[in-house]
Amino acid sequence: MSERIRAEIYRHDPSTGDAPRYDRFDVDGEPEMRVLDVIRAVYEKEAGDLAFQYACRTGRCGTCGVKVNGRPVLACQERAKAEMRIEPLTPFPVLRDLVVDRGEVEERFRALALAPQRAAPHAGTREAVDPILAREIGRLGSCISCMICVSACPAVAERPFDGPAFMLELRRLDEHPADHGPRLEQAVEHGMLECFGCDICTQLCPIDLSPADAIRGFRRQVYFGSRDGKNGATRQAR
Amino acid sequence: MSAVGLPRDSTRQAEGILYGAVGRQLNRWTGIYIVGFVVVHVINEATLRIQPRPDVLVALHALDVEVWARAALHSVEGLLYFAVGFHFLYGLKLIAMDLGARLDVRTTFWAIVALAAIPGVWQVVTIGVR
Repeated sequence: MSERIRAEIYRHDPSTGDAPRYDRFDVDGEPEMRVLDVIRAVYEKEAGDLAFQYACRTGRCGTCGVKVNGRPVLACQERAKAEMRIEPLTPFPVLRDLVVDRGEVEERFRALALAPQRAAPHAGTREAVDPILAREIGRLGSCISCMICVSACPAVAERPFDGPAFMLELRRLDEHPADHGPRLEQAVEHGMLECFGCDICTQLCPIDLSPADAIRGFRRQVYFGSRDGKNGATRQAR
Repeated sequence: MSAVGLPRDSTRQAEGILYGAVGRQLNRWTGIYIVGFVVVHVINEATLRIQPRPDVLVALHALDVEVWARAALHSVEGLLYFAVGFHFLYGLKLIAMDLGARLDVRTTFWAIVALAAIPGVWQVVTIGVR
């Protein structure tokens, strides 16, 4: 890309009481330029007070999530477009400009108690785990909590639903052989049945996970149960 | 299953049609269309039994008969057939996926649109021929 990139960036500092606005910036486009590169160019050359956040620049930390032309993306991975409107992720409260408050997200993760809840204390020896199940748990555990899926989810916007990312974490623990927590009940309590089944979360997930499949796994447990009350989806997927 | 935990490569971008979003909206609007159509006609037919009929109901029924007699509105009937087909098939897809069917979202969306369009187009064409 060698053309000019026009970026309209959301600017708002709630502490000042000023109304939100969009500032327009023109940036020289370069080949394979990403949205984060544009934001950094604006910050370095035109708006030194622009607040945004990022860390790894490789799509692994999940901190640079923004909305580009209304669609939530990871800024470090998404290719820049000729015309972009860059906004903070919804529905989270804005701290300043493109930075959102993730305190509520962290609080929700904490409330879900996302460590295996054992029926008996750990014996202190290695526990054998089916390699296929271990791979599945590892895959589910690779969620980077970027909140792209939560921001894109129409059920989160319309209904009392925490969001796909939380369901994915609950599913991971439900699959975990050492966990005996009431994960299905937690999922229902946090709105799992409100999901529309539209798969937008799956289509937009930057690391190719499928929160929608995790939710469907829980739903199958609601409909059919499972022999031991656990790991129904994994058995079915195999 | 897709790749494990790798950052997406340069071909995996959030561009293009969000099939789930389009499908969900279409499902919602076809549902509203069906309900609206059915409610109007159920009320209309139900009020035929009210005696003595208020003038406003008589006028409404006459308007309904007159409107649907117009050839231009036959396409609305075609749209109704499409709406019923889409709403039915999309609902079936959601149930099938909940029950464990693994369906590709994009392929399923276009298949449902194509299948639902058949009775709609058929209705418009056959009425047009008559």
